[in-house]
Amino acid sequence: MAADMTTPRRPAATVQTLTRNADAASGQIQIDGVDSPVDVRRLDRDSYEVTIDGHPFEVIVATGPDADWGWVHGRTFRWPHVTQREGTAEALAEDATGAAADIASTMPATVSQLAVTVGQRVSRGDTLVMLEAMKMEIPLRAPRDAHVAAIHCAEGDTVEPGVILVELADVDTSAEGPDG
Amino acid sequence: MSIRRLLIANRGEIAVRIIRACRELEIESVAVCSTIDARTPHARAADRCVTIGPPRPVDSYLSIGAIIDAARQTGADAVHPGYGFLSENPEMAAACVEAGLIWVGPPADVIARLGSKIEARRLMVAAGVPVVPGDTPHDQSDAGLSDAARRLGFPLLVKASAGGGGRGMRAVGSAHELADAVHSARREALAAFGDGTLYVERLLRRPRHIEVQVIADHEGRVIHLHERECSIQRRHQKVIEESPAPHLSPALRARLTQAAVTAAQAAGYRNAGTVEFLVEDASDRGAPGHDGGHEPVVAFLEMNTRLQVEHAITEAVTGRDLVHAQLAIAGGAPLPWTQEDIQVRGHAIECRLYAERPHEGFIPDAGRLLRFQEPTGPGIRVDAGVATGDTVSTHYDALLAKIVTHADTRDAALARARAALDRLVVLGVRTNARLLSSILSHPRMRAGHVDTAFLESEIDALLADPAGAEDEPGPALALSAALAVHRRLEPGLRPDGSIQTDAAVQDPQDPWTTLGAWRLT
Repeated sequence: MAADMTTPRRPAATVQTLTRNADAASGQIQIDGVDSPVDVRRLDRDSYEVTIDGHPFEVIVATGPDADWGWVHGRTFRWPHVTQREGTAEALAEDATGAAADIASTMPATVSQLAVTVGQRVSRGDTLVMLEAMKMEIPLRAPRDAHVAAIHCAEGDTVEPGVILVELADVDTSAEGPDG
Repeated sequence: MSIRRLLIANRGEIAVRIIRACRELEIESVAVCSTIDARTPHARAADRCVTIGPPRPVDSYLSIGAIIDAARQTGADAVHPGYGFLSENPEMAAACVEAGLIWVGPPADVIARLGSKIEARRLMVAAGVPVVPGDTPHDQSDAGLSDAARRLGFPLLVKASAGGGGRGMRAVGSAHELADAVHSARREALAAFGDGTLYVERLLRRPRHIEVQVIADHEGRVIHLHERECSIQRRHQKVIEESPAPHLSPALRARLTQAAVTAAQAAGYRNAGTVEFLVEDASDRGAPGHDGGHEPVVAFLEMNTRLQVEHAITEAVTGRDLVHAQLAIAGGAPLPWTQEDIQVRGHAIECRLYAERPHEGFIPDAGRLLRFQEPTGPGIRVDAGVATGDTVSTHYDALLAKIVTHADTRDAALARARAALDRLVVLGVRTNARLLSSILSHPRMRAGHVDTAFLESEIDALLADPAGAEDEPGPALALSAALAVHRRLEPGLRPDGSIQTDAAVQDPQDPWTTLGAWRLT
C-alpha cells in the first residue's frame, strides 16, 4: 500500500539528554539532517514545543495500534509502525506468501455484488467483490493474476472485517499441480 | 401543548445539537444509542439514555419498535428524528402519532408524498414549480427504460424513484453506457430501498445545487430563511456549503425563494424543510447573460422533509435557531417569525469533516480517536459527535463534525474557515481535513464560481500537495523529535492510552535524569 500523501519520510531522532520532574520535561534531541541539537519541551501529556534553529513548533503526538500520529502547525502526520502491516485486502494478499491469497473485508459491509465464480481466472486489478458500506460501493480487487479457488460469501451477505470472502490461487500452480 | 420531554432518535453531532437545544429550552432530553454508542458524546449529553439494540442500524437506530418502546419507557412526549435514519420514514411519523407522541416534523402523508420522487415531481408541476425534464416509463424493463432515455436525450441521470443521498443514481453520457447504469442503479435501489423503480432525467450541464430553507406552522403559514449553496459535492454527498449563495442576482434569489415557498404550500408542509434546486447558469452555456434573453434554468430537485446537516449556516446568517423553532411549532405554537424578521447578515461556510481516506478512493476510515480537539474563537461553531477516546465505527455515517464559520464578508468567512481547520486536531482516524483546506484555497472557490462538477473535476489537483508543503522539512523534524521524547517519557504507553506499569521504571520525583543515547527507528 502506498504511503499516505500526508506522510513524508520519518527522520531518525536520537535523544541526547532528557530532564524531567513531576510536572515538566525537556530534552535535547539530535535529528538526522539538522546540525545543532533540537530542544523539546513538554507542554502537557501529549503536547510539546520543539525549537529547531530558533523556530518553535507546536506538536501534539499520539501512538495508535498501527501508527504514530502527530499534529504540527495544522499538518497531520501518520507514520505506520514499521513492524505492522495495514489490514487491507492488498496487504493481506501480499502477506500470504506462495500461491494462495485471501481477500477479506476491511470493514463491516454488505456484499452488493459478487463479480467472480469459482475457477475463474482473474487479472491483477479485476474487481472480485463489491462491498457497500456507509452509502459507498467499495471494490475488492485481485492483487495479481490468479484464479478463484473458493468463495465464502453471497450477494446480500453482511460481512465483518477480516472475514475471508474470496480465496485466490496462483494460476501456474493450479495448471501444473504440485511438482516433484 | 408544549414539549416537556423529548426523545432524540439519532446519534452523533445532530443528536448532540438537538440535546443542546433541549437544555436551552429546559426540555428534558432522552437519547437512544446502540450498544457500541453507550459512551459517545450524544449518550453522555442527554438527561437519560436508553440502549435500544445492537450496532447494526436496522437493529437500533432504524428500529421503529425499539424507539417507540424507549419513548414509552422514559415517558417522553415527543420524538425528534434528526436527519438520516428514520427522519424521512412516514411509518415512523405515523407510529409516533399512534403512540400519542408528538413527531417533530411534517405529517406522515406529507413525508410519503415528497419522498416519492415521481409524486413530488407531479405535485410541483401542478403547482407551477419548475422541474427538470424527465420520465418514469410504465415499462420498467431494460427496453422500456432505454426507449425513455432515447426520447429524453443524453446526457441523462438514471435515478431510483425511492432514492436519496445519491444512492441508486447513475450519470449516463451516451446510449452505450445505459444498460450498465440501469442494472447497477436498480441493484442499489433494491438493496437500499426495497424498490427498484427507476426514472430518467435530463442531466443539466455543470449545474449549481442551491437549496432554500423553509419552515411552516400548523396554520399553514410558510416562510423561507434564504438559500444555501451546496455545489461542493462528491458523488452527491455534500462537502462544503455556504450561505448566502455567491453571485446570485436579486431576481434569481427571489425566484428560488418564491418557488420554495410555493412548493411547501403545495405540499401542505409543516415544520422545517428544505427545497433543493438545480440552477444552470445560462452564461455557463456560452450565451450572453446580459441581454435578458437567457434566464438561468431553475429546476426543483427534491424536498427534504427534515432538518438538514447544513442548517447551521442558515442559523449563522439569520441569527435564528431552527431547532428551537422546530420544537415550538411541533408543540403547537405559531411561526415565531414573520418573513420580514428574517434578514441575512454576513456570510457563513460549513466544512464537513468525514472519517475517510481521500487518497485511497475515499474509503471510510475507522478506529480509536486518540485526540480530537476543536478549533475555537469568534465566529467559529463546531458541531461534533465525537470526542477524544471514542471509537469511530464504519457502522454509521462517516461525518465526525461540522466546522461552521461566520464573518461579515465571504472572504473573511473563507479565511476564518481555513484558520479554523489549521487548529483542528484529529489523530487516530484519517479525515478529509486537508482536502477541505485545499478546496477553500482553490481559485474557483475563492472567486465563488463553483458548480456540482467542480470537486470531481479538480480532485486530482486538490489532493496533490499544495504549494510543495511536503518539501518543507521542519514539521516532520519537529514531530520526530517530540515522538522520541514522548517514547522515553511514556515507556509503557499502550495504544489504548493505558500505561504498562512494569515498564514505568523512572522515579517521577527524580528531578534530573540523564539518559544515554537512544535511537528511534
